Amino acid sequence: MAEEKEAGLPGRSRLPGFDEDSGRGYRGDYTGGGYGPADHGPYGYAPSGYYQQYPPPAYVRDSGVSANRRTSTWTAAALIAAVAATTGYLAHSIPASTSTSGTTTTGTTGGHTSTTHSGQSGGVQSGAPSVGSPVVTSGGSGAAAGRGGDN
Amino acid sequence: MSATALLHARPAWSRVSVGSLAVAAADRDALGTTARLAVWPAANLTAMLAAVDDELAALDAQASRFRADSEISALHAAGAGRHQVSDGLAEAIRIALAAAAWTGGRCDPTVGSALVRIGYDRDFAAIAENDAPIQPGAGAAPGWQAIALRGNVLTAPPGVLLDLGATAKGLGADRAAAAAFASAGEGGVLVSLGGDIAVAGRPPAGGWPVLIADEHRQVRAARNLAAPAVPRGAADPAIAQQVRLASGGLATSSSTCRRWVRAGRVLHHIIDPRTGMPAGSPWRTVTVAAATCAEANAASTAAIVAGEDAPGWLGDHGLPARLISHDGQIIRTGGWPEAEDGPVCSPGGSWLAALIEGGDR
Repeated sequence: MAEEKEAGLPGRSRLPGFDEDSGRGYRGDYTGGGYGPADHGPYGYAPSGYYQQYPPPAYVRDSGVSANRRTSTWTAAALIAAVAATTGYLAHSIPASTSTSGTTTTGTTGGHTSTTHSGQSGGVQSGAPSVGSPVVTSGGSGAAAGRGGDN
Repeated sequence: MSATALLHARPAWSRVSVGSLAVAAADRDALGTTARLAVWPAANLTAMLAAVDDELAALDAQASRFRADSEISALHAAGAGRHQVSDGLAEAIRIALAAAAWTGGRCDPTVGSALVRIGYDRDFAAIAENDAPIQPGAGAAPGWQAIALRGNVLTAPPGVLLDLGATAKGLGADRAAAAAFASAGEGGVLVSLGGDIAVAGRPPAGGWPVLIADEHRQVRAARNLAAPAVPRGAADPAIAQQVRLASGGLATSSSTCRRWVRAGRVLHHIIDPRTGMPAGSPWRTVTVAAATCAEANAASTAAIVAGEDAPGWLGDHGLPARLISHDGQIIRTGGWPEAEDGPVCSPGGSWLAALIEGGDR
């Protein structure tokens, strides 16, 4: 309960360096406190006593937290975009597979051996493109307007 | 360049959009009709065009009865007797004779004289509609049994003019598709000669999408199919159907196109060998899928001539087919799909190949 009281909220304990009374949550104690050698401040390179004389403002920590949040946000966005792009690429590059369910019958009629496929839809065409519109019309052979041979 | 070379200079290919960046396509006039090449990957188009050009030029030089300098014209000029022919023409005649035997003589290469008699004696674009009388003739065609091909030696009696129209366009599509695919060695290719289609290599997923209509230059307005050079308007939605072709060939014969008028009578190019006159058929359009385009071409022509017997004959041979009567009734055989965009499964075995392997005529 002492910890709860100190943290101010049930189930929570205050992290080192935070002041429960501070609106910005930062106490500004850089003389030790686990951040680095006591005589060199929290970053280990300031002269002894520097941070007592010139305590860093509270927004330094806030800006660090904000920077980390921004980095996380951008990383997550980049990952989502990469997954979406990869999914889209694979969806378009993997050829469509068509069912080949059906029957194949081989028989002999009048001395001629024939193989008949029923219910077949063209088979699996690895790498073959998908084409929707007709590429040609089969109809009676109307004549060309120009000159040419004919059979 | 000589006058002959100028006359038979290859028309340039025109790139066309078929609604998919993965597929490249091009059109040009060829063999008196329109040729279309569609390929994937699109980068292979240029190399394949050259291969198709070579095959079409070779076929035209071998089998066009409208070129004075063609090999078949030289045969006709030489008259009756025994003639040595090139490998290419021998193959074209051999397939035409096999098709005649297969169809019970319903498509017969000896109808050349009958076609000349009713006015189809020149390139179709040059046929004028006039009141010139139809030349009197003997009626029935001489019959395919009158000629024989042993190896590359053709034996023909007097007065026989060959017309390979029932099989040659299909053969040209088969040859061109095979040559185009061989030139690239990857992907897939579709070749259409006036709507007679052969495919080679791997098709797009589900098969090449093909629109079936009365006439090969019709397009369905609702679809964003590239407009051909000479648009004929939208295909009749009650008639048109999109299907998928993954292998083999597909051909459509129709009595609604290549029509002309002589002596006040409307004529068309599909001759009934029994009468020597345009076939009076209950079918306006018949589409057939087969192991090769030449075979599909022969079967669709024979079905127009066969009339009421056509569905039974097509069904007996296991050929997927779609027959449309003059009043718009549709009959399907051999597993032809009823659904829009359904797969057409060409038979794996070739009837013509089996007949040819059985022996020369």
